[in-house]
Formats: sequence, structure tokens, C-alpha cells
Amino acid sequence: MTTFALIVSTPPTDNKTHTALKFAQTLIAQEHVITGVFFYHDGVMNANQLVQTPSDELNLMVAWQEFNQQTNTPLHLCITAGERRGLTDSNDDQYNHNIAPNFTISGLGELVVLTSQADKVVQL
Amino acid sequence: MCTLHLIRTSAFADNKLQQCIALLEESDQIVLIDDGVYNVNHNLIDSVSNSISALSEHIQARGLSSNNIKQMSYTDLVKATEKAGKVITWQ
Amino acid sequence: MSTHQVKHYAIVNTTASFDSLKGKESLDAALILASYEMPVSLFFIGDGVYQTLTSQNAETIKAKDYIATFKALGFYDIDDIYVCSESLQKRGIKEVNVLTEGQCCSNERLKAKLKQCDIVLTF
Repeated sequence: MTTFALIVSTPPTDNKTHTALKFAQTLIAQEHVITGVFFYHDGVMNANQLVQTPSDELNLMVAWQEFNQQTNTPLHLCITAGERRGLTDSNDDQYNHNIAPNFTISGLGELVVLTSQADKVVQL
Repeated sequence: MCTLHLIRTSAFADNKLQQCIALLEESDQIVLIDDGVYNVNHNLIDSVSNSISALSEHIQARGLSSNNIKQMSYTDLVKATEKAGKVITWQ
Repeated sequence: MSTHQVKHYAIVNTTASFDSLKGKESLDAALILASYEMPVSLFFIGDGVYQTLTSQNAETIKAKDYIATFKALGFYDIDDIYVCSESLQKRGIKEVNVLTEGQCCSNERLKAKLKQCDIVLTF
């Protein structure tokens, strides 16, 4: 068993994000442990609940949520990168909290913790 | 320990593969994934003596054949990352 | 008490300064790593070398001037900065025009420096 930290920097509109998900699923299937998936750059958009995916296409936000539920792998979101891209955890009147459940609101400090604790780091 | 290089873009579109090749050590391994699999037909690949593989699913999805390049599954890719000292992603 | 191990990080910049947020978000990551007392080495290769030009003026195009922070990297204990000589040469940039904190290096030296790092993040 090896521990991995994953960094996802591509949005749900890129097929590359499916690669990241499948890689994560394969790690678990091989009985490895993922200390966490850290969503950075455009990767944070995977947590946006307001994204509408056509029903005949893979909804990556839902897929990441299922991955979290099935494997208990933490999904960390860089909130600074998120806010720049329209994500908010605020419930103020003028805002509408739009970060999907199962994603943990974090900062770059979490990137340091996840990657330094893992045996291997893979950026996707 | 060797480094595993993940190439995610086509060298017909950008120079990530070229940047990777410039920094390759003898024992390093290259895996082509995503649009990086288009590099199976790029002549830059011919100049490299390192081990090169391509993710089978991504080759098939794009209607390519891998010529002389080995194909690997996700399971193989996980095993390769496990063995590698570190992974560098070129995207 | 620290919950993490000390690892040596390489931050490899391959994109030019302003078109995307990559340069800015890469620097943010480098500064946080350094603030957690992780050794950090910065590399500039390919179009990434454009980030190191001293004559840039972000304000002209209303871009965030994160480049100014490069001058303060020593304050964050980031002293290992390597700029790819070959990439500079290909782009017609004289080594005197890049940030003085950076060392211009051959590919061989870049390889040797990368080898010393435990984790490599590319931007």
C-alpha cells in the first residue's frame, strides 16, 4: 500500500478531469490510500453545483461526490481559487452558496499537508 | 529513483513533450495520456531511448494505433507511479 | 506540533506571465509551501522564462503584478531559483534582463537540481 495525494487542476468541461477521476478510482481499486484530492486552478469548478451537465453526459461533480461517499477520500477545494471562479461558501443575501456537499473548503495550506504526508504526489 | 513523466498534450500543438525530453534522465519513463497519446506519431518520440508507453483507453478513444509504443492500462499506470520516485506532469 | 514531513518541492513554471492565472497561482503555492518551512526551488523553463523579465509592466494591461513579489522571495527563504538558459537563448533574451536572484542554468544543471527535489509541481 502506498499513500497518494492528487492535485486536480482541470475543469469539469475537460475530458482530462475524467482521467484524474479514473486514476483516483484505480488507486483505490489497487488498495492504495489517497490522503486527499486537492482541487486547484480551474479544477475548483468541479465543485460548482450550478454547472448544468446534459443528462447524457458524465456529470463529474456527481462522480466526484460518489467517489467521496464510496471511498471517504477527502476532496479539498482551494477557496481562493474558487472565489475567483464564482464559487462561494457565503449564505449572505446577495450570494448563494454553490459548493457541492462532499467538497471540503480549504486553502493552500491543505495542499502542503496532503502532499507532504503522501508517499507519492500526482498532479492531473 | 526514476521519474515518471506524464505527457498530456500533443507536440503538434505545443512544446511540453520537448520540454520534458530536454530534462529526461536515462532511467526516466514517459507515459502518454489524454491528447498526449497523439505523440505516438510524432517524430520527437523517435529521438528518445527511454521507456515510453501510452494509455490504452486514450489511444483507442482517439482512433489511433500505437505503432511501436507499448500500451498500458490504468492499473499499469498506477503500478508505474508506485514504482517511480516522483511523477512530473506536463500539461 | 507539525503534522507533516519536510519535503523538498520543485515548482516548475512553463507558461508566460499574464495570459492565464498559472504564474500567479504557482507563486501563491510556492509562498505557502515556504511558509510551512518546506524547502522550495523555483524553475522557469520554456515560456516560463518570460516571467523572470525585469522589464515587464503588468499595470499597462491591468494584470496583477505578482512579478514584483519575485524580488521578495529571499524574505520567504526561497533562494533556489533556476532559469533555463536554453529557453532564454531560443527566445532572444539576454541573461542580464532576468531577475538577478535567479541563476541561469544549462539543462544539465536543471536536471541535477530537479533530481534533488522530492515533489515536482508544474504550472
